[in-house]
Amino acid sequence: MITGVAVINKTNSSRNINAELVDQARSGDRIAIGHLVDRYQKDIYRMVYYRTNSIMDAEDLTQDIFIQMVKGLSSLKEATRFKAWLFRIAVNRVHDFHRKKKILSFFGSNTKAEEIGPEIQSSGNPAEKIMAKEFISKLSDFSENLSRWEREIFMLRFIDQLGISEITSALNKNESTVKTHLYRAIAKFRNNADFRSMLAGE
Amino acid sequence: MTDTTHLSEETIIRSLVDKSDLSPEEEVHLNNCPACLGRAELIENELSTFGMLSQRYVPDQGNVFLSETKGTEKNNFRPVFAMAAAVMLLAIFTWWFTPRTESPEIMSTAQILQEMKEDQQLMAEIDALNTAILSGIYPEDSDDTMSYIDDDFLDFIAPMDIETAI
Repeated sequence: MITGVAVINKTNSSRNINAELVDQARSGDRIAIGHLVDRYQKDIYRMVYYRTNSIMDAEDLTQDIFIQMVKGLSSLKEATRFKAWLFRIAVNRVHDFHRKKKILSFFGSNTKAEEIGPEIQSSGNPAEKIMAKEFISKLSDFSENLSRWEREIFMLRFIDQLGISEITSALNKNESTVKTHLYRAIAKFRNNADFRSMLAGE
Repeated sequence: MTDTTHLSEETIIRSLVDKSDLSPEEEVHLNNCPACLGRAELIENELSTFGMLSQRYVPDQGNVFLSETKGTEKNNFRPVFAMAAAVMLLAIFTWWFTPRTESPEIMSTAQILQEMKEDQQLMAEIDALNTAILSGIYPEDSDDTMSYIDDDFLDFIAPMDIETAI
């Protein structure tokens, strides 16, 4: 059985290893950079996927985000804030992506994802695929009722599992603003009976 | 707040975001009221189910590959613009160096009229030549061509002996 103290110790040691890796990566250690990419690529890919609804775009953007990470590592002052810093890059990159997409759609060239709806896993059992599709569709409906910051903060908190302080760093907003948006988003989540009943059915 | 009044939904949500935002009374109530604690746990469970499902339903991805050639920032639109610029340059280059020989099909009306005018001038010159053949070139072939053959001319051609002449 893992006790609370053991969990705290484990978290602290994980943070130390992370900071050590970041320090090594900053000095140009390729193996350390590789470890950082391995450690965070799933998180970043998931973060981007739920904001683009496209597997291909999520893969491309994930690649871009890590390239930007490698280029900017030397500008990171505190190694302990690496995760928030990485998510900040990701948030900005996704924002750029949507801005460019808006410009392209203005000129009449829509992306494939817009035409065919959200992409889901092509392999796997059919029941799981149906559930995934329903989840993404309900999430998309729910997101439409949120403001931009409510949506961003709610997703960073509950999909990307960032803490409040990490969210404030990633979005460069003060803590009370982040909390206010989060209260509102959770309140809207509570009022969305359709989405909650789907979650309860799990 | 009294012990008999339960926490509002808003307060419970606040407690989920950050417990330190609750007043001391609210915190005491939450820790001692099974009903409020149950409501808070219910919302927390729903949110954690949401987080868990969001992780489960993410499609698999390919590995991130950081090669040395990817040192520069990738721009999704740059290749399209580069290609468009290249095509435009090629078109301008081709147009610039192509000789201006245009097929009759694409001649303009003005060019056609100009050619018709030139044809008419040419035909007029031909007609003029037909009606006055050799008129200016050979004038000595006219009827009085022998008028210059007089005694002086003959004398010049075949001078007579003076004595014989006397």
